[in-house]
Amino acid sequence: MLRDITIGQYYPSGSIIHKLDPRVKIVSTLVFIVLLFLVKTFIGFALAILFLGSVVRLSKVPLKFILRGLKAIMFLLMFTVILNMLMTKGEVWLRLWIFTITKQGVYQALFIGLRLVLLIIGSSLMTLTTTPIELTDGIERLMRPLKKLHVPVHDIAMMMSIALRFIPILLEETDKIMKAQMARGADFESGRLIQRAKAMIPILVPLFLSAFRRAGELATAMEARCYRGDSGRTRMKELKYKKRDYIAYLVLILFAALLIATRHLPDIPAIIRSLMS
Amino acid sequence: MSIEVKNLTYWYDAGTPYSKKAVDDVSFTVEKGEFIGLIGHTGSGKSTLIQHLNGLIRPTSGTVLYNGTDIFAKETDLRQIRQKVGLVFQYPEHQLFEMTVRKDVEFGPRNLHLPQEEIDRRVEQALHVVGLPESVWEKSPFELSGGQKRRAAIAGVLAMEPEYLILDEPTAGLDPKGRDEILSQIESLRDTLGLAVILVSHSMEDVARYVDRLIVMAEGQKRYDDTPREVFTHVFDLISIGLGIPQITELNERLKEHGFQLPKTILTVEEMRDALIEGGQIHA
Ligand SMILES: Nc1ncnc2c1ncn2[C@@H]1O[C@H](COP(=O)(O)OP(=O)(O)OP(=O)(O)O)[C@@H](O)[C@H]1O
Ligand SMILES: [Mg+2]
Repeated sequence: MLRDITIGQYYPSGSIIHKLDPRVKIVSTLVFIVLLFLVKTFIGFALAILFLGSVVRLSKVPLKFILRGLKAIMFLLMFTVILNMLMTKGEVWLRLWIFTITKQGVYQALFIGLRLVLLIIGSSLMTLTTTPIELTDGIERLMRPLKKLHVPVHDIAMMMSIALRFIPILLEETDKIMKAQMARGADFESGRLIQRAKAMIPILVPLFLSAFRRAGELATAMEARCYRGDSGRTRMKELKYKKRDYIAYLVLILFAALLIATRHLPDIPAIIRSLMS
Repeated sequence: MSIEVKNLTYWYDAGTPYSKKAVDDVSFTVEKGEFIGLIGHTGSGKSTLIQHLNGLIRPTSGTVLYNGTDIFAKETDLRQIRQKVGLVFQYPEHQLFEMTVRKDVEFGPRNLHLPQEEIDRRVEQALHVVGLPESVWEKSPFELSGGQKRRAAIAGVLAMEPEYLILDEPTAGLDPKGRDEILSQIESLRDTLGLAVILVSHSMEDVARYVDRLIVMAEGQKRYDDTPREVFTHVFDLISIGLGIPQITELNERLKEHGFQLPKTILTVEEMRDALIEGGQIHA
């Protein structure tokens, strides 16, 4: 059951997308997300889908894996789409019992749904193709200018990478503890809410203890290896932009320019309307 | 009365790039009253295999029969199976959670919804069996020493009064005295209650001393399933799969190389002593 959580999961395939500098991927993901909110037309969405589709293709991550991330937000997605469809005022298309569906509502719902799906796929693609360590390295490097403002960039990045590293460990630990308590007849599935909450105690107590124990061990191990924070620390792998990273930035800029240009194009329905009149 | 493992195969993370075959077409039967040792190099699938025996893991293919009924069938009550097949995990002390040792050991029997007197009886018996003195029963389990925690955790499974007891390296990290105490207690449980025991271990000495039958795992497959005496004759193969033989057995093998022929494979120091004395009498 715990294995279905794909958020933050890395899928190794050694593709060109995997090899890109993490900074490129972080910046691209952020830009992509911002751009999604600027798209207002069908052509724009078509362009965004085409772009994301090509990146997915290049990443060699199976589509099945990417779509798995969507399953978790299916309910939220449906809820948003339906609410938007029903609540938007405008030109009435359909009347069903107490519901009225408007043309604007359908558009609105469609756009929001598409936006959400693209957003989720885009950001999960980043984590699927970038290891957590690379990710925090990238973030640290990108935030380096903030150091001048006395923001503890290195410590934040270190905490993030440790937290990310601990997620799978704690999931595994939870799995183990649950099994051990189940072997002693524990039941996590039946009973009322209060009983179920109570049934969590035999999991939570050992889990917290183990998290603290591990944290303590990690701190000792880091100190034993003379970890002193940022000052004077060098890295084994310096992030360096390569040719492919510059190309990727170029592609991103082109995509952004095109997408913004679509805002000023007439939309397909408008074109059709003008043709018909 | 038996547990029957049939063509059991298990893949971790099936269908992902991380998928890994941990157990590969393993079959064997455990009869009541048997004392079985399960050995294999690290990562050979021992822990994965034993978690199938009480239905904590569902096999990718193959099945497990408890007294002839498939434990993974829909109508089987797995909780009943888990009471009959007690499983003590590696480092069981990491699962303690209650305020007192006594309450923690009570957790299992309480889940069986037994009357309080029965719970008390089982808890006290289990605590006696693992050799925890009454003075610590009302203490917090987290105040105990590592070895005492281990005993408390084992008592937690014993208090379920299982018919089959599976222990995953119960003595890892214990001192020799604690190790012998726990293992001989388990042996006497087998003798008095007719419990079947499966002992997962990395110690060749321990399995040679206690078990009647030895299952050897290598790369997820069952390599040997025989008496320890028979298994330990395959010295070179055992070494090639990352295992060894008891030191005293090895000494015997070395002696053989130098022309001292003792009548059989030696498993324990006592056997060696007896064999030497016998041999001495022959020569005298
Ligand atoms: N939760 C898990 N997810 C994925 N793979 C796992 C998991 N647990 C174990 N494995 C893999 O399955 C194989 C068998 O592991 P298992 O824990 O059964 O070995 P073992 O014989 O008990 O080893 P040890 O003697 O070290 O305890 C190993 O290769 C291991 O990497
Ligand atoms: Mg193991």
